[in-house]
Amino acid sequence: MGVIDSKEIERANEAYEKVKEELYRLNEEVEAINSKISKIEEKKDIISRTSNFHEKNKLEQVLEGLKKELYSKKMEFNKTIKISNQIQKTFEDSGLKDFFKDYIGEHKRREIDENLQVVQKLKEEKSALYEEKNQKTSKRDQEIEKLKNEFEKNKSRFEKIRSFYESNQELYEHIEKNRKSEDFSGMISGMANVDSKLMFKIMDETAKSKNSDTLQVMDSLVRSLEVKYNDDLQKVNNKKEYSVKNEINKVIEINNQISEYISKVEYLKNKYHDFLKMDNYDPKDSENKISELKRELKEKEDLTRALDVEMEDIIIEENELLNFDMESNDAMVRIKAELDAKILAEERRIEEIKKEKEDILNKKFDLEFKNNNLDNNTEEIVVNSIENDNIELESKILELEEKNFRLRNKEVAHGEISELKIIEKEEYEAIEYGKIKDNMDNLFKDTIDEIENQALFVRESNFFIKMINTWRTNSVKKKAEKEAAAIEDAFNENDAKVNDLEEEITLLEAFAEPNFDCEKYIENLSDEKKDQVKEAYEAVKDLTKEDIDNKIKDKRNEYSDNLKDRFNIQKELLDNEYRRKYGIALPERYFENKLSDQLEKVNYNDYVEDVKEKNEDIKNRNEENEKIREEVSKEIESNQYKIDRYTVKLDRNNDIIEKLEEKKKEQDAERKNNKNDIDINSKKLENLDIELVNHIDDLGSLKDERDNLEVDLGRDKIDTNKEDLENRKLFNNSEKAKVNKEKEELKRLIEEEQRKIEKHKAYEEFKKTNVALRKFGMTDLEKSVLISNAFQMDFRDGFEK
Amino acid sequence: MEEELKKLAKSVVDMEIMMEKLNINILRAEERIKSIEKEVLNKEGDK
Repeated sequence: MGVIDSKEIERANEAYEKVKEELYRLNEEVEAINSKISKIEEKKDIISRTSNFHEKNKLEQVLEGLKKELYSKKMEFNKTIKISNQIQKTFEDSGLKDFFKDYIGEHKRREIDENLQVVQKLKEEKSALYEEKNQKTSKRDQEIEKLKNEFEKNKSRFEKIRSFYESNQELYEHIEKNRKSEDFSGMISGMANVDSKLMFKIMDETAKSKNSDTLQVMDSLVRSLEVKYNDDLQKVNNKKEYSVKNEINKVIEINNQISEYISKVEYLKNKYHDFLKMDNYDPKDSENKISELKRELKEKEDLTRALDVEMEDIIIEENELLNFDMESNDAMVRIKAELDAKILAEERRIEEIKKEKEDILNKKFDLEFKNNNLDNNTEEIVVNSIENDNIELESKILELEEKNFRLRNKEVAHGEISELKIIEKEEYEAIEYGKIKDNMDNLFKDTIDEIENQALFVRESNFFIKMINTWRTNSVKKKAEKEAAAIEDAFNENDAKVNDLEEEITLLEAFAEPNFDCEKYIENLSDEKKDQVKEAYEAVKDLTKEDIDNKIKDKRNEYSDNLKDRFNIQKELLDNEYRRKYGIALPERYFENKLSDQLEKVNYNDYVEDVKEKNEDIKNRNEENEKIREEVSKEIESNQYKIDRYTVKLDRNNDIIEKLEEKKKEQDAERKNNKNDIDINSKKLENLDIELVNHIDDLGSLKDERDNLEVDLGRDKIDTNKEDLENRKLFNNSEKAKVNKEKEELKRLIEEEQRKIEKHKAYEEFKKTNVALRKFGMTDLEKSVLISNAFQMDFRDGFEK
Repeated sequence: MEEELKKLAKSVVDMEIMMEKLNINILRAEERIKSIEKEVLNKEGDK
């Protein structure tokens, strides 16, 4: 099977459905015509019998109308067949050919064979029906004729019976008398008497009365005899002297005799019935009828001959047709074989071209497919995509660099703060210890200078005051001189104490360090100092850090107290010096403002705590900055890593782009080559298409020629002609059978008429003889003999029976 | 596909049968008309 598209199958189905619908419609319409014909057939016998010209004319018109209608349906049917053939041809071309040939062909052939069988059967049935119909028609016609005659006969018979009944009273009485007078044993002989007597009586009476029907009389007689027989039988049964067996035998015998008698009477009754007809019978009628029947018979003979001639013609035609069939069949087989060979060659070439086309098409498709793929500009798309990626990468790199710039600024900012704030506590503290003391010393020095200046002023400007107070100042001066040594001692003691405490605190703070190395600490010191330090270290080395810190704290408090003392001693010293020089006390105001700040700092521990707190803040800030710096640094590093990576990628992408550009150039060249090949193949295909169309046309013409071969050779009408001849033969045979039957009937009628004439002759003879018998006064027996002779065979036969 | 083709084949065979049937019906009608013409109208001609 070729390549079949399911859509094509669907289209084929739809097309066939339409054709089927059309066929159903046409069939219904043809069936309607057939039913109209049936109605006409029902009436055709009546119309055929009538001589009404108008009726027949009307029928003719109706039949013409139906013929036209049928012709138009036939035309439509032919159109539908053509459409169906076109559809089949279309789908054969589209690859369903093999399918039609293999699958449908087989089914169709089977269906057609079956249908042909049905047609053959129908034909046979039709012939049988024609035969039956003809037989029935002739039989019915005969019956109608017979009934007509019967009717006429019965009509006259009725009249005759009535008159016979009236005139036969004597006969009844006679029978009655006989029945009553005889006993059973005498009945048989009586019956014999009755037999002959009665018979002759009947004949006589009927001859006299010219009654034509003794049937009723005979029936009555038979019935009365049966009644009597039954009565007698009863009597016999009652009589004891007869053995039942004998009686039964007798009765059987009697019964047989009665049966015999009844049949005799029946026969005679019929014969007599015929015989009596003779009265109203005129032989000339029969003669006329015979000549008429003979004329008809001759006509039928002519018709038979004509039918024979026609049959001979039919047979000749049939032989001619058979010869034609054979000859044309031979010619057809020969031409068909030639055409088949040509068709096969054309089909092969078409197949070859198709194959060639398919190959070229495949090649072309491959090239087109390649070019399509090339046209898809994959490289360009990839290049664009990579370029887009590059743009994205570059923007990312830029973004990261900006970020890093900001981060570095941040890092720098946080780094600067930490550098500014870092101050070593120990260093600070070391500075501060001396500073406070120096500050205090400087302050006092400054104060003394100021006092000096003021005192000079006072000295120069207040001469009078000086003069006045000279005596008082001298005593003050003396007192001050006395006190001066003690105050100086106190100051020196305090100074020594302060210096000692400073040293002690410095040492303790050094000891408090976690990794304090005594030897290292003392290596640059003087020996005396070394011993002191060692001694001091020995005193605290087993203490905990907390204990040492507490000691330091105590020492610092002590130091602060001594500094306060020193301040007060220095103040006293200054006052003493002022009193010694000027003989007046130093004004308190000099110390109020200038030294108060310094005094506040004298509480060294508080100050250290404050410094500690501040340093803690700085430390925290520094740690925070460190963290930030670390984070920033990490981020910068990560960003840098990303930037490096992106840069690598960017470089790689640029390499790829370069390669792709090269590939694109190669593909452009390939595409151009493919396009050329496609054009060449397209041209080849065009040429093959033209060739294919030509071959298909040739094939179509050859197939048409082959399909129409039967018609061209005139073979399409052979079947129809054969059928026509068959029908003609059937018709001829049925006609012949009909004519033969009619002939037989005519012959029978002629014979009947001849018998009637014969019978009439006998009847005439009988009548003459009867008159003579009456004249000579012959006995009934003698009459019987004579009559028997007169009736000859008829009567003898009757009795014999 | 095979089923569809079988369906199509049935359709075609049905159509062929229908054609045969219709052909027989047309022939029958023609035959009957001829027969009536012969039996009824030709008789008139004889007379």
